[in-house]
Amino acid sequence: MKSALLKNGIKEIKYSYKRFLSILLIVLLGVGFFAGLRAASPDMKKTLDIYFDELNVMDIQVISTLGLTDDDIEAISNIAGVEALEGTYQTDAIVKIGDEESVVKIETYSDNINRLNLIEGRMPENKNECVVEARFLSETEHKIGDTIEINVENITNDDGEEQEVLKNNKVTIVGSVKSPLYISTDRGSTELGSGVIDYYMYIPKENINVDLYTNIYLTVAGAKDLNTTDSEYSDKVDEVKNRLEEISESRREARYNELYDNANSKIEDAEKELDEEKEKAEKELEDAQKEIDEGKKEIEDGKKQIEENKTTANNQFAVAEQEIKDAESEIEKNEQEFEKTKKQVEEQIDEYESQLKTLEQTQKQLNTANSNLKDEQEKLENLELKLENAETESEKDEIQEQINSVKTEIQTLQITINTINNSLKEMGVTNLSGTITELKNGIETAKEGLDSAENKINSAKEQIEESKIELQNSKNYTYSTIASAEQEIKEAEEELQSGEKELEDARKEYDEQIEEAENKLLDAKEELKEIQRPEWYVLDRNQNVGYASYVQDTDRVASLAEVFPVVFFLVAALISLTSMNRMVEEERIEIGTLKALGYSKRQISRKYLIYASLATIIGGIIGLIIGFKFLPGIIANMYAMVYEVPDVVLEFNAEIAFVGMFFAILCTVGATLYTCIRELIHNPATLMRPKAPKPGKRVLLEKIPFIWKHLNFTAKVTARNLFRYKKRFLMTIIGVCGCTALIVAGFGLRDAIGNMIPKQFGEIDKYSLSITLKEDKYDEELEKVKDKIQENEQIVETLGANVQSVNIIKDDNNQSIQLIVPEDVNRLDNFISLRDRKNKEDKYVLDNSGVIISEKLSNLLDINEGDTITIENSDGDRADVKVSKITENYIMHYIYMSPELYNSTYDTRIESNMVYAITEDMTEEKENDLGTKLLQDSSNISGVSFTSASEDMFKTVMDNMDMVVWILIIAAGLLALVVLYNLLNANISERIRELATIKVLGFYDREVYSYIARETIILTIIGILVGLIGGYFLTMYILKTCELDITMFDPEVEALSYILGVIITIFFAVIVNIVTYFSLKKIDMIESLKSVE
Amino acid sequence: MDSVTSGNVIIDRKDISKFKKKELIKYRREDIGFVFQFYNLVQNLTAIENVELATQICKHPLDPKDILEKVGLKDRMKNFPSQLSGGEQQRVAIARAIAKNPKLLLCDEPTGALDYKTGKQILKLLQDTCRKENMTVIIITHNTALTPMADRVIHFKNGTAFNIITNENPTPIEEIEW
Repeated sequence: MKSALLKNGIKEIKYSYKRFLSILLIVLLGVGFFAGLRAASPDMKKTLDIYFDELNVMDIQVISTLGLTDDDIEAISNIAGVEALEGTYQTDAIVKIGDEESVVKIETYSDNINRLNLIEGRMPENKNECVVEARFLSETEHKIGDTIEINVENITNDDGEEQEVLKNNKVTIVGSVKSPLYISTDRGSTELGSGVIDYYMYIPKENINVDLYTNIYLTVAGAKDLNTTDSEYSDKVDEVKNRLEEISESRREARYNELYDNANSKIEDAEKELDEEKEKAEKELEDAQKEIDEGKKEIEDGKKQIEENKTTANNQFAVAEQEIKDAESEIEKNEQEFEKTKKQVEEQIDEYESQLKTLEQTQKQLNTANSNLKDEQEKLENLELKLENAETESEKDEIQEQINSVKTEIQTLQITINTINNSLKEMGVTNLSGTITELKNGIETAKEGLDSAENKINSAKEQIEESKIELQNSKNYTYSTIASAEQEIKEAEEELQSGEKELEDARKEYDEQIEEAENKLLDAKEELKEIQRPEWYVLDRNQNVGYASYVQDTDRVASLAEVFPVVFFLVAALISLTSMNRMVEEERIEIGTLKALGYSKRQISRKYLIYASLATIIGGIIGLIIGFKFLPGIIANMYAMVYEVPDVVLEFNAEIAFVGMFFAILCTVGATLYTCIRELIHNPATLMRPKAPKPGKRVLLEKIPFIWKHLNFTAKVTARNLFRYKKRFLMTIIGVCGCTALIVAGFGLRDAIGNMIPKQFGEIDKYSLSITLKEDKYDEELEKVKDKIQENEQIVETLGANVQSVNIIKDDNNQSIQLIVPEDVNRLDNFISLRDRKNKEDKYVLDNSGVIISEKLSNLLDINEGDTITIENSDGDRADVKVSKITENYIMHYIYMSPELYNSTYDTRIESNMVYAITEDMTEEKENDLGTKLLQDSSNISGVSFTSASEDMFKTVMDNMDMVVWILIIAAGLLALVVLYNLLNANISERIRELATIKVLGFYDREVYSYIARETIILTIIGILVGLIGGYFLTMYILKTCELDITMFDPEVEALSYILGVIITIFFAVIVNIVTYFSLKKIDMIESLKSVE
Repeated sequence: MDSVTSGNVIIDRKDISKFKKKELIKYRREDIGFVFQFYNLVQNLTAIENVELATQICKHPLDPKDILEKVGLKDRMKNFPSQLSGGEQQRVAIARAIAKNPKLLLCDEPTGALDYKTGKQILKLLQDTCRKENMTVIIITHNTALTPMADRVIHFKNGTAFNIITNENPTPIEEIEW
């Protein structure tokens, strides 16, 4: 008997395979989605757990503000429950990549805890090597084998000395790794550069020059066996954490004492040293003073000496000059005498010479007279001869006469000669020529005498001249000697003076140095007082940003998994209900017959229960397989873009499978059971009679004759039909509504994330470039830097600002918040828009009444306009400020404050550390060029970041969102297809007689189709409308669940998304309608002749 | 509704067995009225609406109200089929068929689901219609007792017509008993 029933059941499936399939499919969808979405979160968590176990990731991390020592390690290792521990040193460094400076987190690695996942290359073998994160290689031009330079700021060691952190800061990249501590893109924040860490890298311990540890990582015994996200794990770790907190007090005290003693003894040493130095320096100064004084005295002596020498010399010279003068006057006297003598002598000579002249004239006359006498005598003789010879008397007479004249002549001549001789005699001259000679000699002698006298005088004169020259020379020499001596003295004086000045300077310097040293000492003492007690931070995995956000994200997936399957299960229940209901009703006669034959209710209903459970179980199993296999993978893949975790571990989750199947069976079998029970109450006779057709009913609309009368006939039919089948009505609307809602949600999600980027980076952050300054600047210095930046013609406008990480003091607040204090609140709007999200025209201007905070921050921390919040700035100062406005913002959290308010609130003077710039539109290449140029041009700039870079990053996230949209569309489409097809199918088979009849009546195929499709179309339209509203709320729900803490999705769904939702739903509806059209065409009119079953 | 396996169906000099599907629909729409054994009324429509269902698709319909009055359902026009008795339902069905003003009225066992009295009333209605409206009415029935009322009787056996009798003087339905 049983087997006959079973056979009947199987045949039934064959016969009504469409119905079977539709139940199977909807169960598949429901269970698949349920299982897949539900499993995604545990699968992802499991993946993380396996990954963390594999790399032996720490369970607890201890960080101290003042470093950790070997003693600390020793102490911690003695705590019960600590399995292994490892101290590492961690620091932030600047690595130059091209012209850009990147901030890199450097940590020592361990082979035990937090092992690295080697991606490429090998691990370092010596201190000159390092491994970098894989992204470093893909995003920079560096590759394995390159040597990079790490610039780490020196640290002040325990002795208060500057100390280099690394032994070697030029290291070679030998491999790339992924660290389980950084599975998200967040690398933490830093005080360097722009405050954001770009990459991490690991170096061997050997390269660290410092004896301290910054971190101690430890694993808890037995924690590995537990699932890291389970509460058992947390409990176990918390136990050890508590023990750690217990010992931390004493460890911190020890460390404090160590540091205090160290510093204190250091100060004492310094004081001693200072005193010694003081003494020494003072002595030196004294010596120098003494030396100078001595020098002064020496110079005085020298001056005196010179003066004395000068006087002596002058006296001596005066004497010499007197002597010369005397000599000269004597010479003059002699000369005068000589002149006198000379005159006399010359007179004598003149006399002699005149005598001589006279004598010589006389002589001449004598000689002339003698010669004339002689001539006359000859003449006489001649004449006497002539007379003797004279022939004639006349001649005789004449000759006689001539003889007479000559005789007289001779006579006169004789007389003349006699006279001369007489006068000579008278003159005493006897020997004339002798006398002349004598005279001549006398003259000569006189002359000679004169000459010799003159010579004598001249030589005397010469002698005096010589003495004069000699004197002059001597004078010159003496004076020049004196002058040089004087010069020397002068120089010495100058030297002395400069020496004095030097001494003065030295003294001043000394004073300054001493002051400085004393100040330093004072500072050191002050510092000593300020040595803070070290803080210990005992952190677990939940404080690891990557881990925490990953777990949070998986929780989001889990909460998504709570909504979606509900829609599917609801529809599955409805579909099973209608299908099974129809099936049971269709087989009323069979049921009646069986009942009449004596089968029990249970036996009869078994067929239908088997039918339903078979469809459910097959569909469920396929759904589980597909769901478990693909959905977690797809979802995990989406997250894999953001998190560096291994491929998701897919596993069969029995609990989820059971729950999913249970609900599916509850829906289908429950619905079947309900139908069966309802039918089986009737007695066989009733059952075998055709069920009274569902009576027609007047609809509410008919009561409004105004509308009803205006409806045409077919519309009236449709309206009645719509309300006649309420179940179908509900189901279509739920199905279609679900479809539209899912699609709208898909696109809405895309919009929300898509709009977030252009809005954040176009409308809110209007600046295109933020430039990080190396040092804080204000006033002129800032202007200078800005001018320098604006020299680049692409830059349109700049604004300085102070950007710092701050904290809002509130319970459970671990948001990282940026405080922006612009230098000029009035120009801020050109760079950053502060406005109301709903009314974009309502712009806010910063004033001194309060701060403006970003919207997501206000949501997260439940802060409203007018509230007062406590902000802890980056120096750790806390102050209360009022929140004046809440501004539209999508990515990150910001607080905006006016500089005046900041200054008055924190009692300080704010300085800009950042310059925002607006540039012309630029290609990426040009941006790079500009960035490079800016970094090269100015020594003040440490980093340049274009907003386009962040834009790109978020665009990648967007691309991932497309996947979600596709999943949702496919799910929605399947849902719509299944629901609509099922409904149409039900509609047709239930009304087959009616349809055959109207066919017989002569309805064209088209008319038959529209007769039935009109209802579907109207239902679809209603479903779509409801779906649009549902879509909005679904979008909001998903957005709320998916939203990261640092982002706020734009909650405005664009019209296009709604339109697409409508179009795609219609598309699916059309597919179903086309199928309907053909199945309607196939309806045989003979059906109308058959009797009602 | 069905196609021939062999032979021809010639009505009004038209071979409808050679009609295409669309032509057939048109033919049914305009020239044929059909009365079913199980009335085949649309449950969700009132009596008059069921008639209107037919009238709205043909060219020269008769007024649904008049027809319903003629079939004696003046007071039941606004009732749903479930509120009518079998005979009343069949009368609505006939009204629906007649309202199209067809050339040919086909009735498939119109009384098969009715009791004797009601059956008689229906047959009367059909006969009256035939006479008054000059409509060709074909009644298919297993009940040979009805043959005297017909103008012509065609006997079928295993799908083939084997005997055609023409009644010169048809008996009015009131006189027939079965």
